[in-house]
Amino acid sequence: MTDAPQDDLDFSALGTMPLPGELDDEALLANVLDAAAGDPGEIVALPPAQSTASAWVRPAVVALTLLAAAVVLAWALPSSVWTFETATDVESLAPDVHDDVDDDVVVPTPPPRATPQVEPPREVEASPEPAPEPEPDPAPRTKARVSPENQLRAAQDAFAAGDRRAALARYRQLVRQHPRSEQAHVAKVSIGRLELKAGHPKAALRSFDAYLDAKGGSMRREAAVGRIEALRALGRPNDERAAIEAFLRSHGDSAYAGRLERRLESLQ
Amino acid sequence: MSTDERTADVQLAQRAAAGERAAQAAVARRILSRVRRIARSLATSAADADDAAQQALLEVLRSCHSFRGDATLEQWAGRIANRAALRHLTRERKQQTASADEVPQHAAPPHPQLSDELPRDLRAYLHALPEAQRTAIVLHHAFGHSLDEVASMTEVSRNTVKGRLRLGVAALRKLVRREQRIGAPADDAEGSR
Repeated sequence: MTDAPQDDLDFSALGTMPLPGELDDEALLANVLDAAAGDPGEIVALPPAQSTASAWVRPAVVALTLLAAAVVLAWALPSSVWTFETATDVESLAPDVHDDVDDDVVVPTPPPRATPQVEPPREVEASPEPAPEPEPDPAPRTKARVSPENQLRAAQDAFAAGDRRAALARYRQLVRQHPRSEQAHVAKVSIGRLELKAGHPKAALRSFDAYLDAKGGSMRREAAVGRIEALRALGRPNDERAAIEAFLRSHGDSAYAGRLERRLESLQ
Repeated sequence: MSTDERTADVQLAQRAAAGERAAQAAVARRILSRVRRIARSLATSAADADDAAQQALLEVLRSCHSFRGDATLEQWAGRIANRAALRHLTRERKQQTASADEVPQHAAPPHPQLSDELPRDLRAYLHALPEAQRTAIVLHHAFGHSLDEVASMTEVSRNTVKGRLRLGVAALRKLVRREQRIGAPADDAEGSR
């Protein structure tokens, strides 16, 4: 039996007081529900983070393998060498495909004479599973882009798996590839928070500013508070004070207001 | 809890598992305050607490299909959420430790330590303890989990939990008393902040 620390240590109020800078309940709930909504039909048993990549990496691997075979054929190597060379190419290409998960999958343009006249190598045929989607047409410079919803989900999965670096990379990729999407807009706040957490307040400030400079968005309060935190971390008290005053003018009824007023007093 | 209430909870969880947003919101709201309390108690910053709470709630929503009504929704979800929050915070701390050398020096820390701004409450003392002791104390004394539950959540033996609680509480008392002896009286300290 453990001794209960009754008299002098009261744990009943532990964790009941909101922390300075934390999201209010509604914002936090909205984040959670949005993240859950990003998993339509799979929320019941969301597989680990590889699910997003596997759906489109596999066809890309198959396509690259076929192309490698075609290129080797087109270069008219002797048939006795052909099998060996092709296998070598496949092995050397495969890891590159996985490395490219963070960026566009760009399938190189095959030479014009690369029409394969023979069956593809055995390694390719051996795949027992049908591809989940039709194989990409090896047209010149085929770009396989992931939808903003899936990119957001991939970022959230990476974050859920504890890989902040990957999450940040995916959020950035989302902003880069779908800059006008709603998901990219929201991702800017996530990027700001991750940058702040990583000790990069300048980058965080840029991201929060980018969000706030655009009109609209349901995370404006959070972005504004993040901006204030970034200014504080950068040691810019005048800007921080101005940002707090602006926040209080616009969102005086916010849950953040109380502690920001205290912070403002300490700055004056 | 009546059978009707339990059945209603199972149905609610099933709807949440099927992706119905209103049901997910209802489940999340039921445990929100508990999840936030534990996240605040164990996290070292507001951002970490938010992230832990969000991960915990997501984990609950993703597990809703397995709710059978053997316990109340709050009890069942609370256990899942606590585990998820603990996992998240443990990972965060490992990453922070690993990347400590990469963090540039700033005039102020990127995430100000909360004890800088909060009144010196129990949370501040808890954060002076080793993480394992702090976690055991929070789960057992603040959230009422049994020794066996804490042992399961933290993946150590029951005896280890007992030892952590004993040492942690003793250290906590020592910290509080030392501050009371050498610091200003509690009322003055509160008033000065």
